[in-house]
Amino acid sequence: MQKHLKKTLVASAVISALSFAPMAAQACTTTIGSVMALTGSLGALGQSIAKGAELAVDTVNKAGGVNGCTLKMNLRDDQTNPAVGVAAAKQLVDINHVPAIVGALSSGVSMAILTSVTAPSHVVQISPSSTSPSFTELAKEGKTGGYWFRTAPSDALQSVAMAKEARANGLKRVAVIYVKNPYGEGLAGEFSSYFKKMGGEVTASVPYNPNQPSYRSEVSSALQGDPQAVFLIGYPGDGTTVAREWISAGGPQVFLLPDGLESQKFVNDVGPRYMKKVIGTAGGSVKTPSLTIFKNDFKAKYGNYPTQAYMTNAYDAVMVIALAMEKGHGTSANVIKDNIRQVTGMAGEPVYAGVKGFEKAARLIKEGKTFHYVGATGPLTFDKYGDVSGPMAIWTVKNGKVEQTGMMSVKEIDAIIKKYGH
Amino acid sequence: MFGQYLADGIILGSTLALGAIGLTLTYNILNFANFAHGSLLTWGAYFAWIIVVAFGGVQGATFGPLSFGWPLVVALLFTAVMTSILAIIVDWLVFRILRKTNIQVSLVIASFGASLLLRNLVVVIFGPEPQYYSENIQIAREIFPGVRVTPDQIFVVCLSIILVILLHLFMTRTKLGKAMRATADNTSLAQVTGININNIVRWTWIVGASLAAVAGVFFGLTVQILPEMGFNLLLFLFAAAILGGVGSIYGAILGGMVIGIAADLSVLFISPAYKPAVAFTLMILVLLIRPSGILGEKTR
Repeated sequence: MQKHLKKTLVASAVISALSFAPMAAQACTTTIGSVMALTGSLGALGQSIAKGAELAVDTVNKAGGVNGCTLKMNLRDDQTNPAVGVAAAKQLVDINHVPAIVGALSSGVSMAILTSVTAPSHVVQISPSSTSPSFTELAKEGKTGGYWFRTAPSDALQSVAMAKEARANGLKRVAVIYVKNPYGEGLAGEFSSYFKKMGGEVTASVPYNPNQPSYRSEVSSALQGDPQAVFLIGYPGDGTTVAREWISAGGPQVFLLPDGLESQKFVNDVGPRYMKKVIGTAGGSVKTPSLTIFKNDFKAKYGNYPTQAYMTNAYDAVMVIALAMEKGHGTSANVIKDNIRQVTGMAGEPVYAGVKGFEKAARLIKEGKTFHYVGATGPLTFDKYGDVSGPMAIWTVKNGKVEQTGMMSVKEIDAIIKKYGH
Repeated sequence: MFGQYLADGIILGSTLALGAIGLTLTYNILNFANFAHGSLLTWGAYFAWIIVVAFGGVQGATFGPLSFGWPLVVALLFTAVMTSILAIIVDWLVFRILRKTNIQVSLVIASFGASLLLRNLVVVIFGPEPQYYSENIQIAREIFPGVRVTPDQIFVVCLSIILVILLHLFMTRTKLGKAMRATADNTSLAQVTGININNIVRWTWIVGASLAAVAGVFFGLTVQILPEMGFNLLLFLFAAAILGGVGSIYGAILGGMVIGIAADLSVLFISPAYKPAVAFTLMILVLLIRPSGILGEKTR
């Protein structure tokens, strides 16, 4: 506990030090909240993702702050634990009165915060990395009140891309083996529904628990129904065991693999010669000037280039909040909620990341001109459920190496969703 | 499908049985639940891996349809010796001192600490990534209609049976084995009759650790080698030992088999997501009916 406390203290000290940097000599401050996994099973990722968010705060302040006030981010650790996350979010909302929270990382934690804190209290929540399709469902039921956004595309898009690719490769009968958590369940469910609508058949859908001594019986039941391929949803550790046992049990050596298994180590451990055919999908990216600006700013602040997924998503989440407050000339949750779509999308002049980008946006607002922010993750267009769409990368294993073979554009995915959508 | 699940269960059961024997032995003779036992499995698997990798360059022929050749046989012997030495060192550094205090709880907690230490030492030395004895994957063959197993899996089951028979002969026919059983029954009485307790303790570790090492290699051979493997197996090992009756070697074998088979057969009836719960539900049921376990002695 003491360690966490120390980390939080150090983090807040760093943030306050940044906020009161000489560049920003404003008298007033605007505080937003953030709940991220700085420790726990996602801790290693969370530490860096938080840096992405802090860089955005720094950038906004260097550009003169929000509405002339210093932007401050109150960062809390959720220990990758929903209960801790809810407590932290409650404090931020009830005591610090923040209008927006950036976080959480894990879909499980984000969901807990959304349903018990932010949605009931009408506080904006933007997650940089929670990809479970269940958030879209919740938004459709109207339970998010429109206060929920995320800068990472939902796994629903990935399932569409995977179902499409599987059918395009002539696969008709596919078995699904998935890790039992929101990631696996979401992806497996969405894939099955689209694959069936496209005329395919899911022969078996078998969940597995992480850290089990063996997965032979899971594989045995997935093999029933004579599938032509397996869609294996998981992470490299246990995923490798499942894949090897699948091959050993005589399963067809045709693999459909999601972003979680786009790993050279996974392919090496399973053995490329046993993977006759691999169809992979993962979140793709659009190269924008913002990404270069983000990378250079990151290097300047932390001394090294960003290396990890979702750091850009965290950066964009903070930038979007700041731009919405600037555009709406206010700091309340409703101002942010109502203006997020005014500063993103496709209309008007593009505005890129970095100090210059924010300064340009502030100028355009003064001149009454429309603009849209092009994020470090790519152009951001939030739909009515708070989701962004992004392209999907298609990958495969060629000569033993993981290799991208193509990109499925947002347009293509949208067309498929319209055709088969629900 | 029944036959396939049964075969899957027996393969896992063999590994669990060997691991559970060591656990039950330490409980019986040293009188504490050794949480570090899982780490002995892990270390056993990694010691063997060192040998397999060291001989990797010269490894040419494999034994018939098996995925390995003589390096793994050397590795099995090497790992039995090394894991025994490791167990004796841990005993000398930690448990020997705590045994004097005669407070059981401190031994149990210390073993938990030792387990964490040993596991993290593996991560420091070998890294957190999974390893394999062979890059090759064996394709299962049909031995009975609808039952497919790999040659390695048959080897694992056969060697387990041989080891259990050898252990039985050791415990019943040799002087040392008899002395170990005497110590387990009544330590003070055994001491009075001239049995050297320190020697018995040492041999308990050697037998328990060697079997754990072999179980670790079996797991590595049929699944994968991972720093967490022993820790993940530990709960199942405890379930097996308790189900069979703590202290009873034959109970541990039976318990290992029951846990392995029950977990895999359960897939026929319920979603595999609940597989881990089956083993423990079964354990609770058995304990409610027979608190001493299936083959446990009533007096304990």
